[in-house]
Amino acid sequence: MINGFGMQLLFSPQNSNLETLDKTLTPEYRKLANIILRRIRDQKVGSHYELIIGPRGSGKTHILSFIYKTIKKEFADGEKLKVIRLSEEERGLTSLLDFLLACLRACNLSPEEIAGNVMRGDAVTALSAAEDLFRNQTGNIPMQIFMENLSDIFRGFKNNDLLDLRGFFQTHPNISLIASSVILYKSSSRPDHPFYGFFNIHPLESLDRKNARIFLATLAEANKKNELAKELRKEQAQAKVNAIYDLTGGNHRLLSMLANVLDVAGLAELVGPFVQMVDRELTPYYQQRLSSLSPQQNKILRAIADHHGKALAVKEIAYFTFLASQVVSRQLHDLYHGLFIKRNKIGRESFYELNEPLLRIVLDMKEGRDGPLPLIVNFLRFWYAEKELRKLEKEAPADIQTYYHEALREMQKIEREVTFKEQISVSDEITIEVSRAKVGERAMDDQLKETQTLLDEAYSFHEQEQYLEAITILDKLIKRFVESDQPEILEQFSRALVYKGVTLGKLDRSEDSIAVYDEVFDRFGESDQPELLEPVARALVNKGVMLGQLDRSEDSIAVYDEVIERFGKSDQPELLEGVARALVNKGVTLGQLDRSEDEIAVYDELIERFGKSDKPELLERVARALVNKGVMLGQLDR
Amino acid sequence: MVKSTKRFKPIPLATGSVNATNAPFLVIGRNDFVSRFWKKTKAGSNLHILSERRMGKTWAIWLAIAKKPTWVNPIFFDAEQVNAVEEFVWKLNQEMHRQGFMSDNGMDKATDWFRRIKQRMRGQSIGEYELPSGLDPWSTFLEDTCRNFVEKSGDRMAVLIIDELPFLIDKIYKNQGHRNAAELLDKLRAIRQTVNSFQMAFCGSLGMHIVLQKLKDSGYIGQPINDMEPLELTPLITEDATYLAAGLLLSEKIKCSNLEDVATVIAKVSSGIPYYIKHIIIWLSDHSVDLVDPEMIDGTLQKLFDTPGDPAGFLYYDTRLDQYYPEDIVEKARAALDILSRNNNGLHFNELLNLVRYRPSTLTIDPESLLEILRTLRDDHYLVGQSSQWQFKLEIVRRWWYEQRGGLEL
Repeated sequence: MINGFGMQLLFSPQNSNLETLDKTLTPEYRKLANIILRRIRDQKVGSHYELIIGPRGSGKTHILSFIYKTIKKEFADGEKLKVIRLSEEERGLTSLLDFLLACLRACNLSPEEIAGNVMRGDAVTALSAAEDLFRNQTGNIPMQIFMENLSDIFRGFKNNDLLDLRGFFQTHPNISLIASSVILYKSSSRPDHPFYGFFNIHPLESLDRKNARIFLATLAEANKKNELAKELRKEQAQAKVNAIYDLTGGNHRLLSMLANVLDVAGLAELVGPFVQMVDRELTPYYQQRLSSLSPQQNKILRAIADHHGKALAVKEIAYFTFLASQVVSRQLHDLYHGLFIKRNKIGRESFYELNEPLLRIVLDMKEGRDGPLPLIVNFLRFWYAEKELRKLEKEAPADIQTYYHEALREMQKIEREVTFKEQISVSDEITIEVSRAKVGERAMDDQLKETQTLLDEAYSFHEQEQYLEAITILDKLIKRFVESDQPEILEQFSRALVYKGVTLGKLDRSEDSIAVYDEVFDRFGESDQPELLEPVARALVNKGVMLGQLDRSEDSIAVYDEVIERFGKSDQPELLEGVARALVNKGVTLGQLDRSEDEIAVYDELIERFGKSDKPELLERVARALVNKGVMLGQLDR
Repeated sequence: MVKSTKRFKPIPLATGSVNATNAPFLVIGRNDFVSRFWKKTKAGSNLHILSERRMGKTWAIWLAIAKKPTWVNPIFFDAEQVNAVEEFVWKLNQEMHRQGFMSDNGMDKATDWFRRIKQRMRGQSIGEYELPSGLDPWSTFLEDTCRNFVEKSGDRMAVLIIDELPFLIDKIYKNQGHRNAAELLDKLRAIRQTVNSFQMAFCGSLGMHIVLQKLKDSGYIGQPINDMEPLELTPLITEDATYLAAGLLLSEKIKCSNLEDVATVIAKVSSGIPYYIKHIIIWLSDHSVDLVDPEMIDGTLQKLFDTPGDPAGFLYYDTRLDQYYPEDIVEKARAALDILSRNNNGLHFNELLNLVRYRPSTLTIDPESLLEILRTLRDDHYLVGQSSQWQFKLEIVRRWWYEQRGGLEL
């Protein structure tokens, strides 16, 4: 597409010549195209049916157009193979007759000619006439049909019509089909679906980082931007490409669009047409998909979109949507299977992001944001150095300045958080972790950062068994923030106290340790904030352990009972972990007092309460209780 | 062993557990396995017995123990109920003591050790919770236990047979973390290599490869069983399966139109798995069928599939995927199994790959991932693959899978 500014903004495969298509084909796609071309050329293969599936902008039309134009050229005389391409706009098909009429139109028959031959009598007669007319077009020569939007087309067919269509292909072994689709057609996996097993399916995946760089270089070469192409061919350019990659998710169309501003001095040529393209081409498609979702699912999608490519954990989504974690989990499951989102697992936790970056842009636009599109702002931020951005901002037209301004602002903000280098030089997983950290960090003010730094320092000393140094740091934190009333600071403050208690315990200063735990309890015991109650639970459990070490077993049991009583009815997993720990420790202490039956009863209570939990921390306690109980029973010869 | 006579004898339908005393009367068709087991052990091999669940491996091992040669002292240890590595060491000591390979003093020492180690286990915690101080290592105690076993065995070779070892490792992995699980495997390997006149055999319904994969995912790089020789326990050959089925029919006094014909069909539909043979006969016995003819057997199996409560435990094949396979593999593994269950003769890899892609959730599967999953399923006895042609290993499992899931749109 040539936009009003005289540059090729949107790579349009249908309208590109074969040479351009050839030059810009990625190695993976060339491999696929060659497989399909081989089948077409090899007459011995007979009829074959190929289905290329990939999200919007993944390059389906590129491959399809390349294959179509290649064989169109090779078999130009139409003597050995006839080639037709159904119009992309063929959406109103509901029957075999409709399909045949579309094929006849693609054969360049005039509407009058088609009507004159087909539109006579009833539907059965018309179908028969259409089949005859179509056969006349092909004769016995093999025919290759190209069609797009297969799932949309199949949606219009009822099962019997699909059976007719399948029957048509089976009785016309000279006809082959190459189709593309954004998603699989409905019920594709049903063994009794008429087209189950019919197609050779070729899923297209997003480009990986390296292939994204090669693709950009290829595009630059095709657009005769030789300097840029040369730079992009170097591996050193990978870091910059990674930045774009994270924004585009490796989507061909987005990459090719952003590629166009890599060496232009302004955004004016990108933004307007970009927004138009999104609006015209993507919005109806996504609106249709979004309308099938529930309000909760839409809300979750928006929350994920708001974080611009950063993957979110369930609890983060729950936080941003005001939905319960269980509700979020359930809805994420459906969204995942609906291919709206993708999931990355890191350890035990899953992080979710939008499956299609184009959807994020649509959501950004439709959310009524008046400001610059975040995707473009982020792109600028990653691509240009601060100095370059300032220069561009000065030179840009007024309506575009805002993009550079926003990018500069973001850059300065982010520099305080995570360095660009960190962001782009790490693997996917780390990137997600960094992103995750950023989500949390954005909420922190400077004080919070200070507390975190001090806590980190204290942890570090503690790990190295330099307990006195750790206590010095913790005391510094405690003194500095003792007057604070900010909930986030208080949370860190309470954690520092608990940690001080633990560290004193390491120095065998049990009495001092208990005093610190008492302070936690006195300060935050009556809080209604779960974040502050968790340290309270920890402090109480640890106090119980300390009392046990001082041979004050009865006091120890009383403290454990306090934890069980206070937090036993909570629905917060962190508090329940404290309860579970208190129960195990109470059981052990009862055993030390030779109260074996009581000990077993406590373990039974724990197993009963948490045995069916899905929280690993609780199940770990259950496992421990089971072991202890087993041992106890063994000792009792039971 | 192939029976030369067509005269069948009643074989009791065992409901309790098998042991060295009753194994020779209950276990059919495993003499060849027993011979191979002791022959390889004598040749110095540590054995890793491979078989899917329900193949009767525990029974076969008990038969091996019942028919032990004079030069060996075997100890059978069932690790299924053990939850922690320290508990494993202690219970192994208990078993040694029970079988007379450990003195009362030795057992007292073990009990005392375990009592002390238990205190540590009970207090263990992480993060900001308190961590009481450490105690003696279990690994030293385990080695001492094995050395004591060798000593008590005198001139005989001490052979420790651990049933459900992979299951134990998996539980330790879940309860105590990957380090303890890996350490136990490494320690057992070290003991095999350093303690003379001591050999080991282990088996388990959970594939060791699954557990090892989990450990590898946690950063473990050891090869703790590369000194173990695999020994496969296969389904019963048709004649032995028929003999077993006929013997059980006789003992249950089930009237048949033709005993041998009925037994042959039972042997066939059960894929030669003793466990399923037994369940078909229990069903016939429980439902007081007047006269059984061969045509009824297929329907009986169908009833076993469909009965609420799943008496023959077929659901295990499905649920174990969730339990032991990584989450990202489960969905793809199920898709492959669903599709293969529709094809009695299996599918070529390329055809299977294409059909797996018909399911939205597995649309983007790549050939390498599918191949890896198929290999895992093969190692886990679900599938067999030859010349790129993949199919269910056991027809009875394929059939059940198809009945349950194969026809669904998933």
